[in-house]
Amino acid sequence: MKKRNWIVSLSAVTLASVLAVTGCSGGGSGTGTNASAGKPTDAGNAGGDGKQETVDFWVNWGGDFKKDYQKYVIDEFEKKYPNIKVKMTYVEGTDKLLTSVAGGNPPDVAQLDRFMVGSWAAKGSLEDLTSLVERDGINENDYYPAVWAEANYKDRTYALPWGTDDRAMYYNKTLFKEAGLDPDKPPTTIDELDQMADKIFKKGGNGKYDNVGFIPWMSQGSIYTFAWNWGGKFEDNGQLTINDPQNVKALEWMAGYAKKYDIATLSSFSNAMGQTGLNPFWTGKVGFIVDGNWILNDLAKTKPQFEWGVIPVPAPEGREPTTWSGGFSYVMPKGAKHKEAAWTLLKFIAGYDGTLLWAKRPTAGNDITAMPAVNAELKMDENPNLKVFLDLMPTAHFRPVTPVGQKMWDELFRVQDLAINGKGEPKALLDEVKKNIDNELAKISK
Amino acid sequence: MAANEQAGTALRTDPNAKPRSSTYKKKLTLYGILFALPWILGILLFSAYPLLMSIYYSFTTYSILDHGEWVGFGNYKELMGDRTFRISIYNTLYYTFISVPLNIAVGVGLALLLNTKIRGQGVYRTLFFIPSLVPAVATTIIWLWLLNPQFGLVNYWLEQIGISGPPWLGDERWSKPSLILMSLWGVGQAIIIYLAGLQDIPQDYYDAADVDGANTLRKLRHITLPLMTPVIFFNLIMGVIGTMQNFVLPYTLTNGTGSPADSLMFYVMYLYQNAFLYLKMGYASAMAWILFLIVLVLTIVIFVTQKRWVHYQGKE
Repeated sequence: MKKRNWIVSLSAVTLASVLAVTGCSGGGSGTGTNASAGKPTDAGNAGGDGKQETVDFWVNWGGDFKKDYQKYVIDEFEKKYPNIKVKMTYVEGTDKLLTSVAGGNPPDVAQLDRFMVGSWAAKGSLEDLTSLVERDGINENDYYPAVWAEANYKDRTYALPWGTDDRAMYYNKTLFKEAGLDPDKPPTTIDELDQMADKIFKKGGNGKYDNVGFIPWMSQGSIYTFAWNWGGKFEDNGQLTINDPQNVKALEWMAGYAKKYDIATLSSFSNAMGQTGLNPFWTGKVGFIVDGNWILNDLAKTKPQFEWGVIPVPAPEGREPTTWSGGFSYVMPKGAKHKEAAWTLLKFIAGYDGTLLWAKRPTAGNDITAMPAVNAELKMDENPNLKVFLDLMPTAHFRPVTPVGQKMWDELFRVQDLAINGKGEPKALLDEVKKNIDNELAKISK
Repeated sequence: MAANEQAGTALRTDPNAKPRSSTYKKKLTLYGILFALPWILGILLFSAYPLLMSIYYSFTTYSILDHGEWVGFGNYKELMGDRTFRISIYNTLYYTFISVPLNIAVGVGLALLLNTKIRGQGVYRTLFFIPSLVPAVATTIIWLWLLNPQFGLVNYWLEQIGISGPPWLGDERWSKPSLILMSLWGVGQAIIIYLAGLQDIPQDYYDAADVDGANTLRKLRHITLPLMTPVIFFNLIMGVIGTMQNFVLPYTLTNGTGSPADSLMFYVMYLYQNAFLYLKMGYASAMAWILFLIVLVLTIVIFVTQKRWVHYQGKE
């Protein structure tokens, strides 16, 4: 009897600890902010006219980011605004930010994936910046349209965009030649792409692919990428249009590849490539791939021994090629203590000055910024590969800004995976996602 | 405890000590509580409170950021119609029902082998224990390479004997078996417990069996295995509880997506997604309680059957 109780309660405690995480961190994260909240009064006499303020600033980019950002941007900011001190902290992920907002002790400024702005704003965890934006004349035209749209939810501004990216198609010219194709005539339509890719597929002796022409869902290829390319849409007049007929066509086309080239053999190839830690394209065994501008940064490391080029992802006959963009932003979490100072920092780092300071750092590589003027200033379009990406930016699509963005993303990738594994018809699968997401949305807006 | 009782009986024999005895006892109780206080507070604050609150939250739309509304059994009802939820239960039970018995069979088998008195016994035991010292994530990475469909050793060996290996983790039919294979890597912990159980079996039984002319197989069947059942029982319960909460391995392998085709979407992964990615903490709490009930039922079933197959020493 005793033993049973012990085991039962043990399992209960283990389960509870999963949930307990939320309860504890809400209280624990307070100390840091309290300490800095005390500072303004202490240092009040130090400044001449204004009082000295410390802004708590959380970033979630790892590696050398914090050190570099301090050096290239924050130091300059502090020089320009001697009354404001910036305390930058690296905080992994967004779980801690979430609990700090819930606990009423958030940082003053935080880095947040733009994709999450909608759901965070809907939950009331971000400060509404609209009046500040209007007061200080922040011009939305300084940013790419997709980028600015992602920082807004229901016509209110909740974030300032910072950094962006988009997707295009890389193709392997060496494999083109081996397959008897003209490397200077890349595909311009989906049909051409299908035909050319087919010629590049090559099986080895063991029945596995040595080279693949194209795997539509590899890297940045996804239902999002292709739905837009097929003229589909995910949002129309405030309604989510997940099962748009063109979206269905795109998914059917993707599933067609899985059927034609056998999903198990394709998975063998993509899994094997995925584990090399190298982008599959840089292995030289992939004819076409949809990927972002950031993989140009791998060039210095990988030094590919083959010829390659970049083109916009081909669209079906008669349609303009398009792409979609994502990126980061800076936000003021709800309950930020030093709103004015935080806004000054936000305006600087996400504005022209801060964006330029960061973009012209020596290690900037092939990152593109959210501001066309900065990209032009740094003459980024002189790099022919990067130019393909830059030219697509003004018309780039963006994922719907909705409280259920994350759920929609996960669901779409889930059904994409089901469709290519032959577990359901694209139409039925997308109808199901539409139903699930609408249900979620109805509950939230209730 | 023992000293406590002794003091009590010693004092009780003295009739004049009665009033003193009660103050003394009170004092003892007070000190007892005082010393246990940090622990009591800890369990109340960090276990009991979140536990109770999660029951409450499971009936609300709590999202960490706001307290949400009371929805009664809404979350539970919604779960019944949630396809991913059903898939995650299926995957988790599949994994539990195959990996736990398999782990026991392999564990007991290896323990029996490692118990044979040969030279270098300690070395062999160490070798089999070493893999369980490696963190789960590191194990995952190693297995990813072993099971790599095109450059992996496993498929290379299969090819040598003329079999074209499957894509393992890339194929929805092979992904769960691959995961179970990986879980066997950590069997070293259980082996230690089985070995301890084997040491516990008195030599007398074997001597008596020798006199009766029993061979090794009969001794195994009628002495070793029956007397190992309490240890197997323990590992069975702990194994079921552990595997039902399987998270780290599939989460790292699939980056939380449960791909291919949802075949690696496990219960706690989906719970985590709901709680921290979709901010549906109420929904996730409801999931946690359903998991608790499933584990409870499985545990009770195992306990009920124990009379039939678990033999404790010194009990008839």
